[in-house]
Amino acid sequence: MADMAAKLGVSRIAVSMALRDHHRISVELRKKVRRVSREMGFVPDPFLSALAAHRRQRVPAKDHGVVAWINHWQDSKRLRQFKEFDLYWRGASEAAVKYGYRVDEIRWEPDCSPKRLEKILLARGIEGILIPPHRELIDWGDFDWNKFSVVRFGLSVPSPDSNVVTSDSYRATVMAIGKMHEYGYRRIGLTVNGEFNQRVGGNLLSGFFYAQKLLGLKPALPALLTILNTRTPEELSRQQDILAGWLKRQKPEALLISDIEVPAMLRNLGYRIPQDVAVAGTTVLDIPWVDAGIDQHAEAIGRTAVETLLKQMNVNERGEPRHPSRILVEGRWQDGKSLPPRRQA
Amino acid sequence: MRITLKDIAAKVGVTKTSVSLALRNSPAISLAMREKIRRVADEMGYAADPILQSLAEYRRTGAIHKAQSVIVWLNHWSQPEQLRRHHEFEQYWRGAKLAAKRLGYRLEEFIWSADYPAKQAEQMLLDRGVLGLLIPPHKPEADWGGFDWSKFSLMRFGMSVRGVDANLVTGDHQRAMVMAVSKIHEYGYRRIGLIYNQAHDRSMGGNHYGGFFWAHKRLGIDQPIPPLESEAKTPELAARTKRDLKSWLKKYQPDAILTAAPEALIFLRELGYRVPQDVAVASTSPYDISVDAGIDQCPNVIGQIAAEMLIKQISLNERGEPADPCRILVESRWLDGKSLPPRH
Repeated sequence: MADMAAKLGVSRIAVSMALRDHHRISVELRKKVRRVSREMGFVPDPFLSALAAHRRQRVPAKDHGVVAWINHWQDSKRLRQFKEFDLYWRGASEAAVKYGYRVDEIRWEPDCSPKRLEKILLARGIEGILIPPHRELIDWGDFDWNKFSVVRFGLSVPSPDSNVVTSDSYRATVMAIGKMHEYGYRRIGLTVNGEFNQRVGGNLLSGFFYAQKLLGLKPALPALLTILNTRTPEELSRQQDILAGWLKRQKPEALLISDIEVPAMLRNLGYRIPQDVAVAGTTVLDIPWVDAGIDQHAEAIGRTAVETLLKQMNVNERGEPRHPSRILVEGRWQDGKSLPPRRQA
Repeated sequence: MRITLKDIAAKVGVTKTSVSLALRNSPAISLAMREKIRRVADEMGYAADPILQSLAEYRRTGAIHKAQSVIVWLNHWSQPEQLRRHHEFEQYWRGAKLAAKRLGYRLEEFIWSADYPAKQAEQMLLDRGVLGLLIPPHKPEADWGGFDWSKFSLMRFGMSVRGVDANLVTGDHQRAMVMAVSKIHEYGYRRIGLIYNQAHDRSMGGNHYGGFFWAHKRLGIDQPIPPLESEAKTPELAARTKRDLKSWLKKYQPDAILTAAPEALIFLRELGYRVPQDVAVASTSPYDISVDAGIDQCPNVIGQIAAEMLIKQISLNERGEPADPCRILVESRWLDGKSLPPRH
């Protein structure tokens, strides 16, 4: 480093910080240092870097620090009322403690600017950020991601373009349809939220198409993509009418659903679960009356997210990676009363 | 509260040094005791502080311990030289090598010859102080014998590596299919056909098939051309595939074909179709199929991410098969080429 510092005419500390992508060094200098380090063939020694990292980290001895869980929901309490998301939180918190960290919920109030949020986080010495799912789009404005390591939960928050930890919804759909088939159902339908399906890259529908092919389902029922965005009474009643027509035409024996509103619609339409139609959910936590379906293993998602974040922090990976990847946690089938195995005829 | 070596020592009734040695897998401690200590450590939720660990290592040896900064690419092919002849796998290797170097590690190939017992291979790796293993694809499936994965951080490439339930890195095949169909549609083609190998797609969880249908649905097409299954393992199957292809082309008149089967190109030529004049062709793997347009799975990036993830696991002292293995998907890119030009 001393060699590089001499060559560049800056201090050794500046070189060191630039190599660590430290935000206090200008982006230009960071680029310059990296270029020179390449030219001069500089390779960091993992042990000396580890030692240095440790010396840098010697903040309060008992814990290494805090990572932030950013809550920007309009009604901030709503986020963890979803059992799925609460389990993300718990899985993340427990895993963090194991490594000497703590997860703090940072409620980002609407009247606080992104820049100010950034300052608050930095002032608290926070370098790692977890972004849980959000229903509304988040405007990050001029928030500087290069100062933080980031992991998102799922694809509902489209930016920053960080690594994402989420459930493997494609494989889970194939698995769930397979299970319903194994339980003796033949006319298997899928009604999932159109926007949700779109956001997860069509994973649910792709999985459904493939499962139909794999199992040779005949007839292969067409999927019903629901439109539930505003959840106004008008929208709900329109959806219920569409559902009624679809049920009448397709006569499914079993359904895989994602909308929390659908079970009530089925009731209103006079379908009993499971006597008239058996129902499984793409989650078994948040859909009323539906206890069979995909256990997305939310705690493992939370745990994996924190571990991914800590690993990024360990190697000082900040900002949006050049090749963001998706880290998928496998779901499991959960038996339940809403979809009992059919008696053999 | 952090679990320390001292806590484990108290529980087992040995000294702190013994615990430390045992967790480092030192032969100075009996194998039975090493296993016991490791079990108790796991039960108590002990996680080594990776940073203190390297500091300790540094102090112990007084010098940079070269062997410890090595990760290994485990080659257990019956003909080891074949592995990196696959263009894709060679790219995995290169990407991994580069990423490792950037993080201060060295990636070395370890050839575990087929006739060598698992225990011995394992011991050789331990003796060299190797902490992490990258497991490339093995064709046919490798026999891992009684190899004890729990001693190493692990990362495997793709679903084809069986028998090791490690985290894995692979291309995002479903998303790539959706991207490719959308791209071909954007280039002005309206009758897009898919030629695929059922067994291969199945081994990837049906990503191509499912993605193909969803991509069409997304474009508002409910009834795409039914995908053609291609199989060329035996001359009979190949002849049948060629016949099927002929009638499929006639019946559905595709203007563009996306193929996952290399033999399709040969059959097309034999049937008198010129690419791209008569039909435009893209492939799901341009490295292995002789057209230049299609899906670039970015194998070098897959290699890079695999090495980075492995090193991060080492830094968090994550060893063995995790309780909840995850799949890490890397995004693919579209490759423009002469075999599928934009239509005007």
